[in-house]
Amino acid sequence: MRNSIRHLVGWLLLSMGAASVLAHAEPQLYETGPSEESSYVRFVNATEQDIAVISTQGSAKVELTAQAEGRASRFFPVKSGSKLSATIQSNNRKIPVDVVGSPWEYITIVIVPSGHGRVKTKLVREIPSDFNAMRASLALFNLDAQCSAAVMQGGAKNVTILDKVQPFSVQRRLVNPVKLSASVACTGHSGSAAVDLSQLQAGERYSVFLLTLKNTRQTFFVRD
Amino acid sequence: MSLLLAGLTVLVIGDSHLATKDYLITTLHDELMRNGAKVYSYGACGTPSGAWMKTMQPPCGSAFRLDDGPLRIRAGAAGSTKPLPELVNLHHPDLIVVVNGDTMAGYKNASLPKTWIWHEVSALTKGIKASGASCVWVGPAWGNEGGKNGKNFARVEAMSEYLSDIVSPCIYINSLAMSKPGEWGTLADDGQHFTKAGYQAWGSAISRVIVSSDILQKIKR
Repeated sequence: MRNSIRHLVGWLLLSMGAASVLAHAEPQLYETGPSEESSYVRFVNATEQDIAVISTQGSAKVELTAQAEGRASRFFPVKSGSKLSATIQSNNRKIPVDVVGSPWEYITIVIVPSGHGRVKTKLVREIPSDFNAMRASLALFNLDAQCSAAVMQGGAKNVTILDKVQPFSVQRRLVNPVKLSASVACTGHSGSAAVDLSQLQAGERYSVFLLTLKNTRQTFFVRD
Repeated sequence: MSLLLAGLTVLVIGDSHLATKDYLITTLHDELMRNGAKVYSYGACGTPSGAWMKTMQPPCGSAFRLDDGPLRIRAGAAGSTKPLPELVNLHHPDLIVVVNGDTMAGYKNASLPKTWIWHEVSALTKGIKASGASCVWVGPAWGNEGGKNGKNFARVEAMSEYLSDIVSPCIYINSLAMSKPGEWGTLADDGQHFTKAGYQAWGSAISRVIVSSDILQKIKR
C-alpha cells in the first residue's frame, strides 16, 4: 500500500513537471492592450495675469505666465474616470476646479477673466484619433467668447486650414510638415492675428489658441 | 547571402514572437544571419513598444540570442530587459528591426486603443531616431480567429493599417501581405502564436522583404 502511494505521488510529481515544461514551451496569456485607460489634462491661462495651479491631492504646482507658450502647461496623464481636483490661484483669489476624463480624452482647462479681476474656468474636450508619424496635427482652439466662428488661414496661397471653430471648442486636422505662417480671424469681424509656427515636424501635434484681451485679438501656439 | 545585408549589424527587438525557441528568434535570426548580417535578437513576451525604452520585467519571460551564440531564455526577475539605448551602445546596429503589434492591438477591447498605441510606438521611434540607426517595423501577421488571446482578422487588419501610419521613421513591413488569413497554422486555443512551420514561413518572408527593401540601399551608401 505504502509503495502504491509512493508511486502515485511520484507519478503526480512527474506529471506536474511535464505540465510545467509544456507551460513554458509557449507564451502564457497576457494583456494585448492597456492595463488601464488614461485621460490627459492641461491648463491654459487666457487671462492678463500670471496664474498658479495647485493640485489638491499633492503639493504639485504649475505656474502659467501671461506670455505666449508660457500660458499653457503640458498634458498630464490621469486615470480616466477618476476625479482630478485642483485650485486655481490668481490675484490672491482661489477657485477650485474638478474634472473627470473619459477614456483617452484630452481636456484643456482654460482659465478666463470673469470681471473685476476674477477668473473662471472653461473646459475644451477632444478625443483625437488622427495620430500620424508622417504628418503634423494642427488644432485651432477658440478661447474668445465673442468670436462665434474662428478661422485659420495660411500657407503660400493663404488657404483655409480650419474654420467654423465655435467658442471654447477645438478643430484639428493633419497637415504636411511644412514651414507654416498662418493668421487667425473671426468670421464677420475685421482684422486677424498672425501666428508663425515655423517648420512643422512630422509626428508632432500643435495647438493654436485664439484669445482676445483688452479688445486685442491675439494668438499663440504650443506643441502638445 | 545578400550583398546588401552582408556585413551589416542588425538588432532585432520584439514581443512574444521572439521569446521562445523556434519562434522568430530562431527563424528570422537564422535567415538574417544566412544573408550575411551580424544579428542580435531580444524578445520580451507580452510587452508594448514603449517598454523597450526602460528596464522592465516582462509578464511572461524574455529571450535573447547574440549572433551565432545559443538561444537564452529567462523568466521572472532574471528576464528583465535592457533598454534600447543600452542595446544600441552594446551592438552599434546599422539596422533595427522591431517586431511588435499583437501586444498592443487590444484584441479583447471594444475598440483599437489608438491613443495608448501612439504613445507606446512614439516612445520607441523617438529612441530609434536618437540612435541614428535605420529601422524597419514588422507588423502583426494574420494568425487565426478565436483562441485565448481573442485575435480576430478585423482588428489585426486595423492594427496593421494604424501602425503603417505611426511607425515612421521606421519603414513599415506589412506581414498581412505575406499570407492569407489563417494560412499559417497557430497553436491550439491560441490564434496568435504560430506553429514551427508558421514561424519558418513568417521569418523567411520578413527576411525577404528586408533584403529587398530600399532601406538597405540607403545604409550601403
